[in-house]
Amino acid sequence: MTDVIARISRRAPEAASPGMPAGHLPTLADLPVGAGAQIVGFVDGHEVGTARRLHDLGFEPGAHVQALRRAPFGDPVVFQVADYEIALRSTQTRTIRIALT
Amino acid sequence: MTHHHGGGAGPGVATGTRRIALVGSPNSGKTTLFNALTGLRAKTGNYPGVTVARYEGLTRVGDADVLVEDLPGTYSLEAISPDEQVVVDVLDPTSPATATPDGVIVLLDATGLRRSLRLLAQVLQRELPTTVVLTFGDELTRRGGRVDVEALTRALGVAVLAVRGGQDGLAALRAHLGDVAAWPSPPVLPPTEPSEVSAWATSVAATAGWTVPDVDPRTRRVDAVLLHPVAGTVVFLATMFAFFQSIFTLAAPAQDAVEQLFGWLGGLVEAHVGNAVLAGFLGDALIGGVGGVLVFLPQIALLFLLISLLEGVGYMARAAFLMDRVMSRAGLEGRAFVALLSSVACAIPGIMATRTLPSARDRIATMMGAPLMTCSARLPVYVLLIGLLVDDDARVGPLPAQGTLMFALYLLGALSAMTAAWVFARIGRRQGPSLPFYMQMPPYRLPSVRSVLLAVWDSCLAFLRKVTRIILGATIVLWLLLNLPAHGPAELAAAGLDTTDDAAVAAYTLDQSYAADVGRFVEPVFAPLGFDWRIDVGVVASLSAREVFVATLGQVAAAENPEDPAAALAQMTVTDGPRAGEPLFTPPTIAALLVFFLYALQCTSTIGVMRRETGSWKWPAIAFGYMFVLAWVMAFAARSVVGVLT
Repeated sequence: MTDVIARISRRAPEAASPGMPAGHLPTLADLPVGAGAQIVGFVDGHEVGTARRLHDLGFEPGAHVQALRRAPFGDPVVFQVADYEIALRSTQTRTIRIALT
Repeated sequence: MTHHHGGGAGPGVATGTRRIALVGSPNSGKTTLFNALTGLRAKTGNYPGVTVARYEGLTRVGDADVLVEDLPGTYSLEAISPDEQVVVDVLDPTSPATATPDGVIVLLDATGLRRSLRLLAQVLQRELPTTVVLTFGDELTRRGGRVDVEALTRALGVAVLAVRGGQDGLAALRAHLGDVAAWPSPPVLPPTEPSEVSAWATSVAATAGWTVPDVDPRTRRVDAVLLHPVAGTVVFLATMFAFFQSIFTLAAPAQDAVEQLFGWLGGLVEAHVGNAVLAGFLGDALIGGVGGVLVFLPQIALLFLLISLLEGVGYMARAAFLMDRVMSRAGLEGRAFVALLSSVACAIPGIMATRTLPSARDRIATMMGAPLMTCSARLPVYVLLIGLLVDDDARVGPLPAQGTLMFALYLLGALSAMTAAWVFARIGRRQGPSLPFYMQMPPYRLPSVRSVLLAVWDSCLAFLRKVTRIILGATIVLWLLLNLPAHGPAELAAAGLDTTDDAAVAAYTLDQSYAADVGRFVEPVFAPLGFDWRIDVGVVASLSAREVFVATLGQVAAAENPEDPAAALAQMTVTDGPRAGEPLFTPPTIAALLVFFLYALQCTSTIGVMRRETGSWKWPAIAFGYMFVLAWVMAFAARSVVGVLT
């Protein structure tokens, strides 16, 4: 199990898009409502348990995700991922790297 | 490979009974299936040492009973919460604390097959006899998707049974449960590496001819309104308003009927029981005490009906979504709102609803706040005291004063509950990291009638148990304390009393009673709040259940003036001490009493449930202690403020 978590967290830095300065990589928190994106990886420095859980929820590299709607005051946001709808807070969406499609 | 762990079977279950565990993600139809299998034969308990509720029940298979265990819902076996750890432990034969089941049923949601398959892959790794139950196949078809059960069986290598709506396909499942030894096991285990699991899930879904269902158009259309920042909030507030209105208005006729029934019984006692002592016991203690509480049964049934309907339809997840930002201010999450909302009925279901919170810290914080929500047991106390404080026709601006005061008490309770939860969430933050927040938005579904009715039935039963065990017992003890020791005519005459004056005799008996001794003993504690020994008796008695306060004051007042107890209450004066002769129920004292009841944890059932849900006496002790201190301080403050104003 630790082996698995190590492999997930190792994948994240490789997934960074080339040419973009660190810190400006788009995350799921940047996705406007109605837009879709592809998940690229997870931001470093967060708990691996969280990354693993988001992975098990369907937020895996390569998966397509769409922001459906925002709650009043902007947080949380409902996403369509892996054929179902799930709400995440910005604390979590900031840890998921995306590439806009 | 079969496991025999007789010692792990639930209470009253014969050793050797086969045990089957249900594993599935939240909203996979797991609880519906559990209810369909076990019905009224389900029991709740706790897993050893953790704050996780354990549901198990017996189901009949042929001529034997099979024990079905509903494991907490989980998306993964990489546990991040105590609930999920329980699932991992139960499925681990080497874990000593929990018994391993003889067979595992994994529920796959047909509308989200690929995601569900990930959990199945992790369960199959445990190499326990496993069967798959495919749920929501009807919904998949309706949304234009399809799946071939035969092909899925071949692809997985384990038995796959389709169950629809918790009933269709149930007979086949029951028969299947009878023969765990014959369950096929997969020839090849699924992979463990996450990306390989994804590929495996995709390939299994493809082999099973699974097509992705269309987005449920009804759910999207409804959500466009219900989750709209403006319209959704308006609908939410309207729903809450209708919720409270219907609890008070729809239940009223049934409550009147219960009241009339007990009034009629009281009349029968008065007319036919000659013995004054026996009549007093039957009339005051049994019918007055228990009847005064049973009046709230219709309200409680209605409340649970509404809550389980909102939950079953899928609106609770939306309400939690809309309230999440507000709740995050209190350091909690949206689902804690659902627990606090249930506490308006009664803190017990509220505390039980905290089970849906993945984080133990949030669960404790919510539990510590939940008893401050204005529960239905406070209602009779508030009604009585507000009636003494404010005239029926008094108004605050255009609004009736009594209703406005009642609303203010509800609001103060809710604010206090949020504040308490916030404080406890902050204290808990130092222990352990916070869990990620995620909440599935299930499609809107018609809840199964059976599940809704079972929820209502369970809660009514729990309430009746509370009435018969705690409230009835407390009322009888109180009646004895208020009426003993008995005084002979000679003693009464010696005290200078006219033995033919019933009211004088009753007042003398009360003043010399054991209850009076208790009340006078604790009097110094409550004297700064303006309570005299008679109120103290009520407050001490109400530690068992709040409603007992009303029953006690009723008995005290009836003793002083059996003809018109209400007038007796209003005209009561302080009997001893420096304030002797002054009216007892002055506005500052009533305000102090109202506030005391708002904060104090006077409910043995709540304490018991907290003990059960947290697995120790620590949290109920903390809750009782902090709420008592808070109640005293706030009551003193209320008394001082009202004293200055009047």
